[in-house]
Amino acid sequence: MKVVRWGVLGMVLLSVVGVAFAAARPFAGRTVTLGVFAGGTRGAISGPFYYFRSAWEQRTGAKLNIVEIPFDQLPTKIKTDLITRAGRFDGFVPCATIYGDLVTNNWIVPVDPWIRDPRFPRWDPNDMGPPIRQLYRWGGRQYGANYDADAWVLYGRRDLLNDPKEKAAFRAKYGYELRLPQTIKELLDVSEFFNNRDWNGDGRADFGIVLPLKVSAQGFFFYLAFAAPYVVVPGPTVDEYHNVFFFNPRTMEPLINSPGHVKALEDYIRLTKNGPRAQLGWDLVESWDPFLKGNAALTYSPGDIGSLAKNPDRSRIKGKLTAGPMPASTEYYDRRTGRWVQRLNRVGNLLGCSWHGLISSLSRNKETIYHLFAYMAERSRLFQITTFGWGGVDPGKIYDFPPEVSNGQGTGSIQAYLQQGFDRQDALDWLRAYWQNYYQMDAWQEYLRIPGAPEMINSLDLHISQALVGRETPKQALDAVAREWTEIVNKLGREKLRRAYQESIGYGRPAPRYRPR
Amino acid sequence: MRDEGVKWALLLPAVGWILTFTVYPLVFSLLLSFQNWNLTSPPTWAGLANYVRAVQDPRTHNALRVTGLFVGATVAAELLLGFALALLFHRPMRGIRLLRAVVVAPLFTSPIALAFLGMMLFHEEDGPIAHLVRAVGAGKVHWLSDPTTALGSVVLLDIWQWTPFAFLVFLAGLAGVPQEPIEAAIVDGAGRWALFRHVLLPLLTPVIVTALLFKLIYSVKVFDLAFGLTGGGPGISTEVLALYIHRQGLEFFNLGYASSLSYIFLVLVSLTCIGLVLRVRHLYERL
Repeated sequence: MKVVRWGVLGMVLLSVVGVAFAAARPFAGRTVTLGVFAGGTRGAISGPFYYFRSAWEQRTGAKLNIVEIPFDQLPTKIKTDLITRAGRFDGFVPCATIYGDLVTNNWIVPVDPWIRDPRFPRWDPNDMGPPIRQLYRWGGRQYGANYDADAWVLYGRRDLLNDPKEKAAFRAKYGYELRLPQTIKELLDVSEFFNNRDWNGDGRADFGIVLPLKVSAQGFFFYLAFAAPYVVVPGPTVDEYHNVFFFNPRTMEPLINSPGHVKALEDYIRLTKNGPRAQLGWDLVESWDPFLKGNAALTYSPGDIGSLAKNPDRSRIKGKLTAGPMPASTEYYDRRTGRWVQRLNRVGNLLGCSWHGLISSLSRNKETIYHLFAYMAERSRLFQITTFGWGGVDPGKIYDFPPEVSNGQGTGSIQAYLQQGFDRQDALDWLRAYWQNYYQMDAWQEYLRIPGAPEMINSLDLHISQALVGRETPKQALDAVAREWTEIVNKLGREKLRRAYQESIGYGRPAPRYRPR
Repeated sequence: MRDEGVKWALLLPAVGWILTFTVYPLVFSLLLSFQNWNLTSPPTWAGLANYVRAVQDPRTHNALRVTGLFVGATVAAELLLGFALALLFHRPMRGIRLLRAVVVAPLFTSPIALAFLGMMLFHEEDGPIAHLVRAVGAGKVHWLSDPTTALGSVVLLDIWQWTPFAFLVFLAGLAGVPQEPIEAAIVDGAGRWALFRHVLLPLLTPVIVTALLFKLIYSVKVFDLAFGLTGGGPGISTEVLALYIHRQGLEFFNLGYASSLSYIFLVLVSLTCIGLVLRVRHLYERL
């Protein structure tokens, strides 16, 4: 009798353990396939998925199949998979430029129903800076789980900008104090001051600024970041005249050849002359090297510079880096009045890809792939990824920022960055630049993610390049872009694109955290 | 009758292959060139609109011009260099096999790998060529940042890769030249130039035209080098037609327009090649 009793008890216990084990491994037997930017097993964007794969597999019982896709093939591979309804990918981590196609064709599914579901790891969309939060949404619905937050910020050499001899020479020449540029005028002056002279003593002339201006790469982002404060007029809501950069959201008339843009391109051409001509053929990574090797005084770029600066294999500037948000313009063009307004305009940007996971509507394992994205978005894990420095995930969440760079509002700690090899002051300056970009600007440049965006960007990219090599004047170049954009709008359907554009920028809604002066 | 059946049965796989992978795509893309289709919505009939757009499109004009310049420069240089190398190496000497292997090696490089190699070679600040130029006291050469020299850089890489092809063809041609006319000319007292001009060159003409035909077809299709090395830039200075078609079709999904451009491309190349093929046939008939 005793044997039977113990036997029954044993069976019950085994069942309970079995059920508990099954619950702990809720997706046992499932396999999900993720299409992701090809950064390798220890590289940007794809690297963290490899790093946490086995831990996630043990927790869920599922298998993760990672398919790496090169940058230039990523949109084509994803769209082809969806158009042909092959459904090879359960989810993907694309550049956000293809959001418009994905959402308007119902190729991805919103994640709102699962965010508060206790079956999944917890993450909070509100952890993201206000403009980035908007980028992960469309038409009031959340599509992405927190991951990357790309933006362009200005980097400079702290040692050089604080050098008493350089400061004196600069003051003598320009009549004001040398510092990391905070306005476009200062950016033009400082880059000119340091260009084409040997200030590091290596026997070769150094550069004022380095930028990647190669066509068909990511050069267009650099014009956009520069032009934002000339064009975006801050205001309490997103409307026809305020907080817009690319199109008039009421008419879908391109703004790209408006007076603000033309002036911006004129000044941008002046800026690019304060660096090597070779940069007209440089890709993003090529432009980082002269700065990291100590041959350039300034550059502006995404967050990678901040994390690469700590790496002795790539950098000779550890402990010499400073950073700030993109410089403000001292004037902007107000289309409503048709006049230039002489006032400091600080406009943040959301440029880059802001890589984050999206769920394919063709997936048969939607909950499993969502679990993966939520797992990666868990606060402690995502913070760890951001501090890696090799993961390609840039700071943008409230917990990425230590209180000392964020007026006490950030909940992060600098210690985690120091443990990963960052120089303390480098990291603080870098994080402060991002904090200011996401939380303290007058307005933000919206992200172009409507259908047809890749074609529009290509048109802009090559006409800017034509202007940079002197084959078109700034006005001719931007007029050509406006013409081509109008053709694309007409071809894809003005009404359809107008609706998509309005939804993507939150037309008619309050602008993200508007802070009137 | 049974033999006939077996014959057709054996031919069937090849016929099926040709119908599926050659005839069907040709007909499909021809129909597509008269439609607008971006894959996300059903195709709509466009009539001749895509062709009209192609004729009016400044980027098509530019792509045709760039392709023409590229083809003209590479074909001329590669045939001349290949011929010169073939004459040089068509003689007994020590280590000739090794030398020939060295000359032919670039032919086996992947064009996209070559493009990335080119990015390093032509790096204007830190590339080996820049260092060499600096060492001899010359100024900077803007290999990839100037519209004219950027196309020149693509041409140089193509010449480096494809000259061995012309070299191989000419070497084979020289090996097949009958010795009697040459010996007769020498007996008649012909000098080196006269021998080359009046005997060797006419005998090699069919080989030259054949090499020209093949190289023309290869050159006109160039994509990888421009794509990898310059991305078509600066501006659109190195945007060859194949690259522009790729952009329209696979980046922007303007499949109808890309098809119409492909057909224009096909017609231009076909007309040129037909002319050359007729010329080759004529030359061989005369031999």
